[in-house]
Amino acid sequence: MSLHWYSIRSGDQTFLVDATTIRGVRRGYDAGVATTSLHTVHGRIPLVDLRDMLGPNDQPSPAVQARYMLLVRLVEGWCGIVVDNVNEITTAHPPSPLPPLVQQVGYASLVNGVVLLDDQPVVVLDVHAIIALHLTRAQKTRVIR
Amino acid sequence: MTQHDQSATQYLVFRLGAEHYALPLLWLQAIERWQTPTAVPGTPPALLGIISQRGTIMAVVDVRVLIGGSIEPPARQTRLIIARHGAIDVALVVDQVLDIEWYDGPTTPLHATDRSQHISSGVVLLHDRTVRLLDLGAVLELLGTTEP
Repeated sequence: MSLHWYSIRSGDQTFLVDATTIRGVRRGYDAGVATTSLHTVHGRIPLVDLRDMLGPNDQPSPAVQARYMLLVRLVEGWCGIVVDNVNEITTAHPPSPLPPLVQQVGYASLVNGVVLLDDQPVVVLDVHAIIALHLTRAQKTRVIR
Repeated sequence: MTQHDQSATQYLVFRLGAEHYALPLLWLQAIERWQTPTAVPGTPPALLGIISQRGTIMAVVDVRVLIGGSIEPPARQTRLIIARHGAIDVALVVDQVLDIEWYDGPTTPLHATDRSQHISSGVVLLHDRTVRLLDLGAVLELLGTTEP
């Protein structure tokens, strides 16, 4: 059984996300001054910057206008995930679990597994887990303020 | 062929920075050239990422970083030692693979000021060079206690 995946780029890394979780892709979105939310046809939706969620990397952040937003439908409302690039839609087998050693030490909950593309492992992100973590962090920040 | 005592163990000797380490050959699966691992978000710096080794996906661990050193760019002699501990396959980054040696002599406890003593089961003298015995189980245990 093959599945469809969006191949995306954040910093110097390529990830896959399940294409069925993405309802749309928008390029060069108008973030305005605030980059934590965006006005869309679905109303004002929160934005999650994948660079912020996945930690620092070696690549400089490109101009906001050159980035992409993946639109994700939540149980209640919508959310946008900001990435540096959307490469392609690719077909691959369902993900394999991460090696046990990696699961023990990392944020395994943000990752759905790993897919081999041309014998190179590519990490599959769990977009709903990433959004949930972002919203939890944002809520904590509001409480502290 | 040299005769060895039945109690002797074969070790793979390798270099990590300025230190020489030895890993029991029983744990060794393969030695591979450097290949850039795929980073996994939220993992400690010592876990460089994952690679596919003949279809098996395994973690790549930089022992130097694990014991407090810095990440060095791979060089021509950099190798990945593929080792197995229990059911866990792991690729260890080393600076240079030196040779394979038999050893059945005494082991002296390592007294180091850094974290390297946590991953070594002792020190031995091999052909006039001091070699630390790498405890793979301790490496994996130390990695498990490292903050992402």
